[in-house]
Amino acid sequence: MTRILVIDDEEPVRTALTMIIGSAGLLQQFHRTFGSDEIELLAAGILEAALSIHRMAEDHGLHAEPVPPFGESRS
Amino acid sequence: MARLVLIDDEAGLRNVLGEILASAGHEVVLAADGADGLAAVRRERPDIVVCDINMPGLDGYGVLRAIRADPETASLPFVFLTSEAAVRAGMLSGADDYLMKPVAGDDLLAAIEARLVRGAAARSEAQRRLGEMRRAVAALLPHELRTPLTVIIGTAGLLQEFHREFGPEEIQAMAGGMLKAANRLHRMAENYILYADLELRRLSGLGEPMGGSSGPEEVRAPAKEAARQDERLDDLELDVAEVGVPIASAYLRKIVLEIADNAFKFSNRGRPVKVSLRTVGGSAVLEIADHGTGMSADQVQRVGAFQQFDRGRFEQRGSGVGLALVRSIAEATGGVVEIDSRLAEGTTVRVRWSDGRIRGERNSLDSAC
Repeated sequence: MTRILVIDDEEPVRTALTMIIGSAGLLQQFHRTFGSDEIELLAAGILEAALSIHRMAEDHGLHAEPVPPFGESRS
Repeated sequence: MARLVLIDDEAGLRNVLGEILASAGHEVVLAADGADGLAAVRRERPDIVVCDINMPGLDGYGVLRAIRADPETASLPFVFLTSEAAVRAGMLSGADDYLMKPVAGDDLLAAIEARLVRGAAARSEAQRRLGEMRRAVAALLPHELRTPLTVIIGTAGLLQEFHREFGPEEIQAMAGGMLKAANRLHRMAENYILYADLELRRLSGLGEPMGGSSGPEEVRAPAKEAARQDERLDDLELDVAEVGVPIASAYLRKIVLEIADNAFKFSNRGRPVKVSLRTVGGSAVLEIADHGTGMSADQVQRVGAFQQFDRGRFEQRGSGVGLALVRSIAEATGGVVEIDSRLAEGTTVRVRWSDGRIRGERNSLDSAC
């Protein structure tokens, strides 16, 4: 019986989401204290992280992968 | 031909059975006690284990417990060699089959053959269902992610390029929009991962890790969170009794959050969403009712039918994986989900757990349910 399911690219998704949530939160709370360059930098970081999630989704990077049964090789 | 580990402390019997199995074409690894047997299982990765119960040191039950506790070996077919007196205990311990001593060679071979055939069929079915789920996840996920991602990508692009032209309030609003979309994405990703994990546990028969004990706070807190997300705290009506629910805290919170979120999403501001937890007879009953758009009988039927990701059904009301997750968690913890809904009148989702472990006060919901 197949015993385990691997969520292959869970970590990159979490990392990108952390980047977006953190940067958007900063912008929302402290936007008045940021200079123009800082706002541009934060927006660029958010954009990059969002595009990376988009690429992962398009590549089906986040998916459920059955691990082979006991005694069988993954190949 | 299969690879077997045979564990028995009686050297004579061990060798005879080993010969019988080897002469039938099986590859046999012999072990003289539980500890050696367990080491052989972990080293050899056999297709099946045949194990005596009464052995000095680590006995057969201990070997079985250790095998079942290790995810790498948890689903390994396991056959006990036992005396009549030990049959019942063996059955309760979770072995796959039992052979009574004295064991005839033909019986041993037949039992192993039957176990291997059943294992192959189960493996094939599990692979098929996991394959289905994998394809469905792959097909659905990009679609589900698209909306919040579009918000984030579009807004961040605007902000990056034209930030000098926006005032502080506009920047704040844009950041708030991105944050909301990112939180939605986050929850979606968590839901998919949890759903996949639950499906795995169901398909592989791995343990039951979701039991536990939860109480009123696991209902109140996520209900308030859902209301707060929709800025509708004033519409939330809580009627939560001191009831223990036999489910791990994180899972009850997830159930409440998903149902309450739908209740707020599909009802208008100013209409109440009532969240209650009560004991009804011997059951703990969580009930979340809204006065929103409701669903037709046909739609309820379809919601009630899903077991796998189904893009068509999920798109029907934009419910995502949330309700599938609620159902999976409820079923994995011995619960039952009921949905009462009428178009333009509202929806009541009820989750009921009854396993004799429910503790708490009883009340008038007996007649209401």
